[in-house]
Amino acid sequence: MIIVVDRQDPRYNFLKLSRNQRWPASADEAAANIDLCDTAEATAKALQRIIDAGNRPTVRSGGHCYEDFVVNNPNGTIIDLSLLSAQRLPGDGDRYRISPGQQLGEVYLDLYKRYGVTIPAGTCYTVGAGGHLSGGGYGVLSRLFGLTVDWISAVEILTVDSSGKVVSRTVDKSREPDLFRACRGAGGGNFGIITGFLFDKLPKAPNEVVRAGVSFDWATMTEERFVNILTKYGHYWETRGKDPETWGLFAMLGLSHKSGRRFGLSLQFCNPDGTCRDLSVVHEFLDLFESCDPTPGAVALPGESRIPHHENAGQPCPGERPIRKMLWLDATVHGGGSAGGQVRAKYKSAYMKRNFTREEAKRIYKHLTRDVPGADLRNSVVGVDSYGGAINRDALAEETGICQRSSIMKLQYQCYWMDPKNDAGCLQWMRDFYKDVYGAPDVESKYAGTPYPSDRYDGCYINYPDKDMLAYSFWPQLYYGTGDLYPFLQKVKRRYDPNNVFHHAMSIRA
Amino acid sequence: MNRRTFLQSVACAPVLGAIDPLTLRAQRADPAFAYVGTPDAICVFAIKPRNWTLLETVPSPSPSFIAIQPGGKYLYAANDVDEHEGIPQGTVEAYAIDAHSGHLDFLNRRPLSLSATRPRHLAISPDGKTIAVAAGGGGVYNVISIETNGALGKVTGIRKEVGCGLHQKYQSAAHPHSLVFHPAGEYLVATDLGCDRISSFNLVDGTLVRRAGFSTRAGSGPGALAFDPSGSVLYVAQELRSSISCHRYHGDTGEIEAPFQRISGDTLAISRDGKFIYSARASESTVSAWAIDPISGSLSQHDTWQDPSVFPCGLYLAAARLYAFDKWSGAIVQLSVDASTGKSGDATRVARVKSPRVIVTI
Repeated sequence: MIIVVDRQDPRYNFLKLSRNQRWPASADEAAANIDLCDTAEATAKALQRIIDAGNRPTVRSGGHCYEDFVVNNPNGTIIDLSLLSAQRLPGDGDRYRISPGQQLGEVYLDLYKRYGVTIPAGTCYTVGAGGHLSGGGYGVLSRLFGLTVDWISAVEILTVDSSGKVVSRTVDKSREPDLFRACRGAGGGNFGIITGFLFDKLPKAPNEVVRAGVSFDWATMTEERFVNILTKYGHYWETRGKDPETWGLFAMLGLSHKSGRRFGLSLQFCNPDGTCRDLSVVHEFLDLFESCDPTPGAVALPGESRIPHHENAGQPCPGERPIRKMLWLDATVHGGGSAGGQVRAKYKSAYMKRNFTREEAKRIYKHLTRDVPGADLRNSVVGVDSYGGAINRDALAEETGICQRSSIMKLQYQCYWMDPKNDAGCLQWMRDFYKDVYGAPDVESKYAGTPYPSDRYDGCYINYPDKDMLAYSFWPQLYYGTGDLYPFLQKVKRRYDPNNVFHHAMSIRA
Repeated sequence: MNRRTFLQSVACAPVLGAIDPLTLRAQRADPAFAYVGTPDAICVFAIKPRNWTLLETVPSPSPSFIAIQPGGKYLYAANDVDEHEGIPQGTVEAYAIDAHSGHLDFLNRRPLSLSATRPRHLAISPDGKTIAVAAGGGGVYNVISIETNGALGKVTGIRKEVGCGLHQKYQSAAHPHSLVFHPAGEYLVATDLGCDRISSFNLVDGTLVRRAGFSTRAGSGPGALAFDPSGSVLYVAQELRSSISCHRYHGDTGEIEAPFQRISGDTLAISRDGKFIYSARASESTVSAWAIDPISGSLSQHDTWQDPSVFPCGLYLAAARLYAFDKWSGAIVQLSVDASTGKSGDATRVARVKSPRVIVTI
């Protein structure tokens, strides 16, 4: 079934929007139609119709794209897959299926209830699987299990051949392996429309997890103590955090702006066997920060938090620390984040291979403690996620579209605000902040202002796209590395989308 | 179209009144200024009988095609670029022309839609209110409104093309190449070099709606095109086969018939009185004049000019002068043509610029 929603339809005013309220930036950029498709066959039909009419399709699953890649489609058509949520189809056999329209929360519930397995994907319940998995599928269990794309066995995808005909393909390691690899992490809106992800196996879901955290008061914070906190955190992931025993530990240091009054560190942990019988790793980690004058307990942070703050969730663990234990599914679904939405937002990202330098930490401190006229920074945060563990298997860089396989932390710069009048101030603060952090004197001058791949950085994450990076001619290397991945993706693009039917501001340029 | 209707349409050509005033002026009077697109600028020349004088060099990113609005007040340039401010899109620039000095005043630069990269041709509607752009790189047509002050307004229409052809190097995807408005203004005809296609579009609410089309021979690569003044014959250069095909055109429906004749040539220019067509072949260093039969529209070779040191890759006809340019040597050669016989007379090298890509005069 295809439901065509045009400008006269009352649903149009909702469906034309991104969750990031900045998009579409103007009425001129809005799509003319939204085609809601609930099967792969309907999607193919809608796509062919759009192409035959000389229109441009963009594709949406959950609508969480940070930039305007979907909804900036002037007079074009958005193919909306949020109703394409089949959980099983005839012929799936023993394989697990995830449809692009499924929300991550639904995926977790379904996989767990049916099979007791899961995917190591994101926290937000309402994020759509289509875009999330196309760009990597990273989350709280990724240090333990890797990225979701590492587990994908086959992809069902609609492409458009050189003559303009829609072609339905199932690709895997033996059938069109080049397209299969590209679909495992290169990002959405590049090669076609994915209508199904198939998995031969998936990891067993943990039984239980613990959550804990500490927070720090901006009122009493000093630059020296701030630097100490960041470097202690980074040092852990650079050293002890590489031990497989710790891979069940995921932490997020949420560095909010001082106008948010406190910043904090949150963690989720389970032992590799999916239990919480031995919490020594957690205690060892939290002990690191004892000398930093922490306040026990996590703090609520703005936007999408990897480990959402729920004060009374779960049961307290014995001991002095406020560590709470809960069932994994409860923590993942019921305690899942709501991930922004209905606000204006800007995001940036950086992979780090090494601990923070003192200079970097000082620069972060400077921007988090300065006031900017015309910018509401109360809901601004740099989320420093732990990384590595099972993700960092070199061979997977060759098998998938994610080449960042040696980082220990992944930073997500986030700013949320409501009033469009704050746009300019917030955006400029983000730009100045980011440029400064990666603009220290020891950064190679031609790459200054970016985390260009080096012995310290490994670029940016395509699922946190940032159009500001387009100002650099080397933006593809920021997202796809300096090796053969981007040329490979260009080759795939030329072969499977020769007419560049699927495109946006940061799509693969063949 | 039968012979009778063809004759009728030829006969009513003056009534159609579709020839823009600028062109009529160019037919009647010697042009005063020339604008030449080069890889990084628009060069403005004062036209002298034997030698052009460079007036100014206006920096512009790869102006691959230039057109002057009917009335001659504004000039528009397509910028053959892959990206603008980091976004994969080409651009079009607008300039005001100083009628006395010929100088250009920059008005604005309008980014095209996403993926509308490498625009290499544009056409201005007879009413001067709309520009259609062929962006060969991304396989996209754009329609842009022109504001009353000549500046470029919004992109009102985006048409994404798909297709391919035989030639692996040039035809792996759709590559819109050139556009021309039918003299009556109702249809816009466009060639797509990438997929051997000629299309007739209507402009509907600022967008392009395809009404009819014709598939040229596989691997032919249709490119430059022109109507005869009546709009009943369409001449199309098949760039990948170095030929020019002649098609009857139905101005009431937009239909394009199969060619009734083919001649050799890479590109073409047509005299506005519809008596002669000129073709150029760079590989043979020739420019040929062809007489157009007023009854049948068929062509007969009339005259050929050849200079082994010039490889003409583009033509522009202004009054009694035909300009041929050689993008390799940079030479711009002026051929005097006899308006009554179509024959070329003196050949003069009037200017030399770096890699000329387009010439217009006023």
